[in-house]
Amino acid sequence: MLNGDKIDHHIKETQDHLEVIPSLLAFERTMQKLEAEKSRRRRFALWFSLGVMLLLGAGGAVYYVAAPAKPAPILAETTKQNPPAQQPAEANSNKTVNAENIQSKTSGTNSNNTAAPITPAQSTIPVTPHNTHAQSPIPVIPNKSVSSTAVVVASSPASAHIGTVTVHRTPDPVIAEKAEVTEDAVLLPILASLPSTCFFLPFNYPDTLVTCCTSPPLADPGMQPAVNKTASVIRFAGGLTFNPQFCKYAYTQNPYANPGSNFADAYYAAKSWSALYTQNYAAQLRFGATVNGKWEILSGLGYEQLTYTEQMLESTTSTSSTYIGPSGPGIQPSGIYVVSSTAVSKSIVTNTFTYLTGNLQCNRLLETRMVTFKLGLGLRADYLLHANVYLLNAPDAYTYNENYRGPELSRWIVIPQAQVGVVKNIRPKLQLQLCADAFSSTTSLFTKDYLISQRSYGVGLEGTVLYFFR
Amino acid sequence: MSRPEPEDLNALLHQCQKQQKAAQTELYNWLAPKLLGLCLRYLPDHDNAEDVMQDAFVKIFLQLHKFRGEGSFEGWAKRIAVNTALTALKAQKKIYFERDLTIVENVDFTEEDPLQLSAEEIGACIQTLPSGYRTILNLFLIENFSHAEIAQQLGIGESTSRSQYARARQVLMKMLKEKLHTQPDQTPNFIIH
Repeated sequence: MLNGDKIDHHIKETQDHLEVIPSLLAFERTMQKLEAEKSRRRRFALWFSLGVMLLLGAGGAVYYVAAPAKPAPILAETTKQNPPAQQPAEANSNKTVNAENIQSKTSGTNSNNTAAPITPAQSTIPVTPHNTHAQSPIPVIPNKSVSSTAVVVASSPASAHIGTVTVHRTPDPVIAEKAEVTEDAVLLPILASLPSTCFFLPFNYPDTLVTCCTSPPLADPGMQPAVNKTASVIRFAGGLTFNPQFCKYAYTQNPYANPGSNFADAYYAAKSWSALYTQNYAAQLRFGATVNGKWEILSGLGYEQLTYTEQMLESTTSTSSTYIGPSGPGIQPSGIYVVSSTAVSKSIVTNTFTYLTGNLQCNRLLETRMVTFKLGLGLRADYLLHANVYLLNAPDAYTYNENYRGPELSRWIVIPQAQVGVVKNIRPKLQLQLCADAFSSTTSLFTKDYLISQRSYGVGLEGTVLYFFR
Repeated sequence: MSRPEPEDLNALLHQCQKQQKAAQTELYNWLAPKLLGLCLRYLPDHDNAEDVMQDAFVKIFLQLHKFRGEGSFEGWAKRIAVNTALTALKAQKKIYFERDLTIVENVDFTEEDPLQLSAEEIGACIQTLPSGYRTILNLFLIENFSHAEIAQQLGIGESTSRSQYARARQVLMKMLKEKLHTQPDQTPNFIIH
């Protein structure tokens, strides 16, 4: 009997050294896969680096927007209460806002208080979004300001006094301000006369409700509220864009339409190996708007041309000898050309696709001292007008088609794009934009029934001139 | 093609790293039959196996810089091929583990019996095993994976790997014995191209 180990050893030895010769095409297919993988990695690297750039740009933008700004000054009349010696250490001195004048204004009586009345310009008090909540005890971010027309104080429903509101600024930048009532005054008539739209309540004071109110017009025009409400400023613009592009194509074999014939495989291989950058362009009319000078929405409608060159392949079966290419002798602008001559099979022909193009972009504008940057994402939709194209219709013959819109060609291609660039106002109403963009089509130039899928991707430089209507 | 000498192999790998097609062709011609034989043990369908072999070569060409020369290049390449084959099997959901683990009767071989079976005949028997048996038998018996490694690779328990291997081995022995005694003159159906 033979023991188990010897059998196992025999099986291992025989199988370990078993060799099977692969098919002849296996190497070519391996090389094609290798090129496809390399191309995929290059694309990934391109998109990754673009993503990193966008992230850095977005991070910079967020930092720029969220960076602490210079605190807005309190413009109301103030009374410094700290001793002079302590002022340097306590840079944020106590400031008293006299509010009694409001009472006199609203009640129509004169006040003995000699302090200046709180006018819209004088009662600018830093507030934050936190202040809009009645429960919020402490205003946090002091870098934005809103004016109020009145400051009222109610210590209790029974209280009928209004007095001086003291704003204490602390050295702690987080705890920005809080207010106290230092002097009471009659309140109820004011409460009765003030509008009900109180919009923030920032202060931390025991048993006391301090409310800065804005609102509907008061009887006295001099008491009109002046809340610095940041109304959206929308500026509409129109213009022109010219966009030269360096474009490359990603090829994919169609497993359904390509049954694996030698010529179809060779065609795909040739396309994959000769995927060079081509120069294309687009020109568009632009219309859009900027919102608050921070956001920009642009739409465009125009003309785009995509071209690519390819080298003709030699027929594997036909014996007829027909030249190919528009410049070849005896060539007609249409017809079927079977490539059987080695000399002419090396012909390089150009295919041209003409599209009506429309796009929509949403951009963020980032203003710096020197220049305004622009970051954005967009979507381009191209509608095929016509193409001059050599198509591989017959098993191993090309068909030249002029002004063609046949079933092999996709009517629409959709191209997402990302862009980064600079914006410069050369006149008050005239703006010049220069942006680098990267794009990658999600749709093939050919329909799914064609031998191959061919998607465009690349980079472009977009120059735009915009005229603002107001 | 015979195995290149170590110096030649180093030069060949260096040239392959520089994407020289002639060197890639030479490396392919040397390794492809070995890797296809390996892939066929995991994937009986020839086209599928050849596809996996091509994917393995793509990985080999792209990751050549990671080979430090500390072990055999052939072993490194085979390991890549095994991993690629396992990935393909998992992606195609073609690994089925048999639940029937009934112990079959022991098969006795004489001293001469196994030697009468060619590599192709044994390979053909392995190919006809159920996918779970085949995969575990290949990994444990031929690739020298431990049951812990197999369990980790296939996402199964170590005990499952052991029981599946025991059963796979018994079934294989029975098939080999039958082939040896009942159909000695049958042409092996192991596909060779």
